[in-house]
Amino acid sequence: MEITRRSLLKYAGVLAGLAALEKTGLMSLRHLSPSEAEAVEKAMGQYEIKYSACCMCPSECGLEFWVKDGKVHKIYGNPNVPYNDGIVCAKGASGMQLIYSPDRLKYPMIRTGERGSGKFKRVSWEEAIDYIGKKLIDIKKKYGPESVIMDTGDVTDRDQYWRLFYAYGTPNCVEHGSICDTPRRHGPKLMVGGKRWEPDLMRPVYVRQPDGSLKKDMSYKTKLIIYCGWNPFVATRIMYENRGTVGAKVENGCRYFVIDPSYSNTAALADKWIAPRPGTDNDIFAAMLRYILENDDQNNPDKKYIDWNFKKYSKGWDDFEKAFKSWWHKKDPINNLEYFSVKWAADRAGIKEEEIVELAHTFGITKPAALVWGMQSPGHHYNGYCGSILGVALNVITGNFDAPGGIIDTEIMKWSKGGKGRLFSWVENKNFNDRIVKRTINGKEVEGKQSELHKDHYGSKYPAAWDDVVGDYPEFFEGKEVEIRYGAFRGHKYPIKAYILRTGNTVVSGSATWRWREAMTAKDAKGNYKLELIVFIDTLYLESALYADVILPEASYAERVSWSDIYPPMPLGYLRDAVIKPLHESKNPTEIMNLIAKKLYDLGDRDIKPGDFWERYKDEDTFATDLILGTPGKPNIGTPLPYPQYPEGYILRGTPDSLEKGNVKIDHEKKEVVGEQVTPAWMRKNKGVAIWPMSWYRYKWTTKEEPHKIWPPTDSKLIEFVWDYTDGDKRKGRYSKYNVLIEKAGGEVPKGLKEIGFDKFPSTFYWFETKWNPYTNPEYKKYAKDYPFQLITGRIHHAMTGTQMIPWLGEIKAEGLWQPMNDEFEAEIPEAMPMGKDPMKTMKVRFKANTFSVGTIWMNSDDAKRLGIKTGDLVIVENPLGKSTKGKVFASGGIRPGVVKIAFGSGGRFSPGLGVAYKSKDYTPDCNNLVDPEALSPIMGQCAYADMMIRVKKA
Amino acid sequence: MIEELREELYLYNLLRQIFLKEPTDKLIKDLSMIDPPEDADDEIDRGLKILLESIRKNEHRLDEWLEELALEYARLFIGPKNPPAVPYASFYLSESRSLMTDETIDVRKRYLEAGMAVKELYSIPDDHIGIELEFIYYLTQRAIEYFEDGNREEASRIFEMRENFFNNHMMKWISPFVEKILESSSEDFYKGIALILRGVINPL
Repeated sequence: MEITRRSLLKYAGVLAGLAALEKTGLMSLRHLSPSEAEAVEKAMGQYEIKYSACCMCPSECGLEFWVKDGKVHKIYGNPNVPYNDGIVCAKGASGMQLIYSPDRLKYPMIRTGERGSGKFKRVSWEEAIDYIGKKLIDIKKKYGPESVIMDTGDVTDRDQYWRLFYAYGTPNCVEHGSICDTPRRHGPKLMVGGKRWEPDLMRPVYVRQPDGSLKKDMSYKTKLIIYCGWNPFVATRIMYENRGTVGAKVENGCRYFVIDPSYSNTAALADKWIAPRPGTDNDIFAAMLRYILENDDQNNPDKKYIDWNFKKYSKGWDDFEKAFKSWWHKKDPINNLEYFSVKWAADRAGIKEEEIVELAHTFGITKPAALVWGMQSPGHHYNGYCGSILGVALNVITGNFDAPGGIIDTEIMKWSKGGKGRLFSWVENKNFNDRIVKRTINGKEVEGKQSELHKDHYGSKYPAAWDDVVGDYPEFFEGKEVEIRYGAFRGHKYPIKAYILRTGNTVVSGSATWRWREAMTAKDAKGNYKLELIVFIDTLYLESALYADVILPEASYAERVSWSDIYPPMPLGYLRDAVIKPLHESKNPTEIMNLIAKKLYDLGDRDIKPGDFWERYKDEDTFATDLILGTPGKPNIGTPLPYPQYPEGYILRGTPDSLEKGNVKIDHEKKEVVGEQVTPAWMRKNKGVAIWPMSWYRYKWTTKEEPHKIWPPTDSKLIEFVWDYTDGDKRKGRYSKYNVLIEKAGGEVPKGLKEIGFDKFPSTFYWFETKWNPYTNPEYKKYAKDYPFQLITGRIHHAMTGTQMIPWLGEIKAEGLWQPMNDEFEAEIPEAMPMGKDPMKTMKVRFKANTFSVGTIWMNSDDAKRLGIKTGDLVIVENPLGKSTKGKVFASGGIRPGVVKIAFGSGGRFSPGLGVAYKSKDYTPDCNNLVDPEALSPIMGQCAYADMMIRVKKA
Repeated sequence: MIEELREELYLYNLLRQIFLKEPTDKLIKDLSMIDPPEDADDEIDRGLKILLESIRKNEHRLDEWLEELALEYARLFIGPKNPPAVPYASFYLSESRSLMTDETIDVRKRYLEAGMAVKELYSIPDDHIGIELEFIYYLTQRAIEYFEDGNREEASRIFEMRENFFNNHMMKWISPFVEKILESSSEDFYKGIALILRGVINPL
């Protein structure tokens, strides 16, 4: 037997005797007992199917993970989840590239260079948590806990973080909603207490039959859809909407129209494409409503647009109609035409009058129909509120709201989630935000609720920002103080000193990119960062991490337990399960919450109670269960009645099977039917999903044409066309509480309202113009000559933001926004190998110019020609604020002349963690660099991403 | 024979420590007591020379240098920026170049054969360079123990296991890994240890 591999002896002699190299214990391996070894060996090679939910994008489709040897081997769609009905998209199927990426965040890290330099060293969890804990204690002492912002950029699995920071004492816990599309959601929230209106396209649904059975129903009922600024085939995250649109078209002869300045993929298959000027959605909707009101004829079947029954189920229509009509005789200074007339809208939108008439008439006459307005239309305009309100009104008066095949508010019938897990202190027996706290204001001690310290809800700018405001953080990071002007703490001021960002990338998406970079690196006279603490928590290394002081690696979506419930028309929930153990040293949100809580407690913070954290939440399942206590928590309403065996209107709680079998207690006093609590364990036994029955017309009794006043969740439990009214001696309506705050503050008008000349929140229909639009707002006409183009934005779903790290998704082109126009580059690229030993193969590939898709600047070919620009030319896009971005032009006829479109997050990506996308950063455009950071929409403070004027010139 | 194995042990111990963690004060101080080899006729010689030279050069500013080494360790092997020298075998051996592939499971099986497993099984990929070196270190130690007990049969079984791990696994990926360190690091400490690693695993 040959003993040594070679003669290493001379070195051994050299090294012998060094204490550090004497026989030392094992650092990373351990002995297994014979029984342990047997167990591990036995488990090897066995496939286990685990149900979970995706998170490669916020669609969160239901998935099946095939796990072997503690490793994900295959990802399929879960056929039991109706949201995606077994489908998994290319992006979802790429999950393993994220989970097993060698570039994932693996260990806690602490910054060693300047913010933005990207220099970090590995530290232990103990060190990282200690650093964060000490800073938080210090900041709380110096400035108060409200100086800390907890921003869980992504909405998924965020509740642990909110719980922690509510307990710590800050009400400023936010998510990405506030930089998403708040004006778009405004009408639904205001008028039915909801959020997102989607066509009734989710199939299958389970529907109660006359014989008492539940039937899986695949039938589409919709006859017409109008998508305004909404692009389900490329841009949105509603999985059932793209397949449902095609399904309804093919199986039910549904027609659909697309209103969009660009010829999107959705427009390409549409029955009609209408391309107005950007920012005129409101105008088109207003003209549609006026046309319908003026031309409705109940006796002529060809003009019977309105279903007047809606008045029974709503409140305040007459006031709304009066306010709406009061504009009809006024003339718009921009074109001297009567407001809301077809002629007026056609002039402003730059489309034909007949097109508007056709839209209004077709929508009025076709039932069931759905008018859908999107993120890129009212959602990203300064004045999108008006369009969103008009959209609700149009759907309601035509009888389409909650009708089979009509339009559904997907927020207010979904299962209840969040609740006590997010907000409630088990030890104090109340919500954290209801704690009474004291502050000294002008030498006087004042008491109030913790919630009344909220930066926005009681601040000087946007008190009705019920989704919070993120776009204005830079000014606070740079030292401007939050001014509390309403509620108990009126007069209180505080700075923002810590920013905890979890799964978000606000540096790129928060508002103007340049502004965020400036603010996060701003220093005081002594050379210290004004914002004293930035923490970044994620699985991926995105741009915002470059500015963090501490990075915490979070378990990926395959390694943590939570819930998914995206936009369902009825109660539906599915499990996100930890199908594998957290990789590397990443930790799940529950562990991270407990670690920081324990550290704060050990450092003396007595706002943190062990019983609210590590003593109660020893595992993720307990926390997940607390999030859905008493779910679905929705009433037994609608036609057909979901559970005819239980009283109509009673609140339903418990698993679908316990409700179905009658394993329930009926509480007639509370009007509740309580079955068995849904838990992760129940989900694991039931294919990962809980589905309750679908019903429609949920605003009325199932047996009579009368409102039951149980739902929708407004003050009157009716659809509300008025938002500040009195009922007896009570002020009611969604805006009333803000007006009460204003009145109590001596009529002090918040900044947002002041901007548009309002002195309070309007009680019914209102109208104001958008910014940076020379066709609707006379103030901007002066820029039109030098900045002749309007800039709009879009989204390329399969290649957006973090998942650009997956090259095979990035390679695929889409619309004019994402085209094979790269410069030559070399990169290591994984390619799918369906027949190979491994599912993919990574190889070094040299991509020739124009073979790999990158973010592009989409403009009309005639415009380009006039400027002497052709497809592929590098251009500079400039706005009147002196900001610019660079990119290559894609010129085509598929976009309205005068309009330029760039996709969000598609270019200028400066985090090296993004792989191939990083290589193209110098010739791909960052549209957010052109956004006006001051143009925050006046009611809810959302950044006006789609309102900008620009010029284009050759670079 | 035992003596030879015993002395090899020192090298594996050194290698596993440096690849598993950022170097400690103690390790560097210990190493600074060594005299560099006089001749430099192979990679291990050259590596050791470069390594010890880097220690000599930085002894007077040890704390600062340790911080730099920690940064370089993070940059080379961890991130958050894409690490230039990914320290997992599967990255080099699997077509997918991702982590936790069949190659990783193969390594896990080899550990199991020896009655061992990664402490954080299913979390830490089994084929991290430091863990593999620790495995070699462990097997060498066991072989010595069996020899000392006179159990030649067990000793040679363990020994074969070790040879097998070298020849059929480590030798396949160490060269490209070392190449990555050499081309991306400007820190002699890591260049030195990379050469030693290659010299030990792939004797010329």
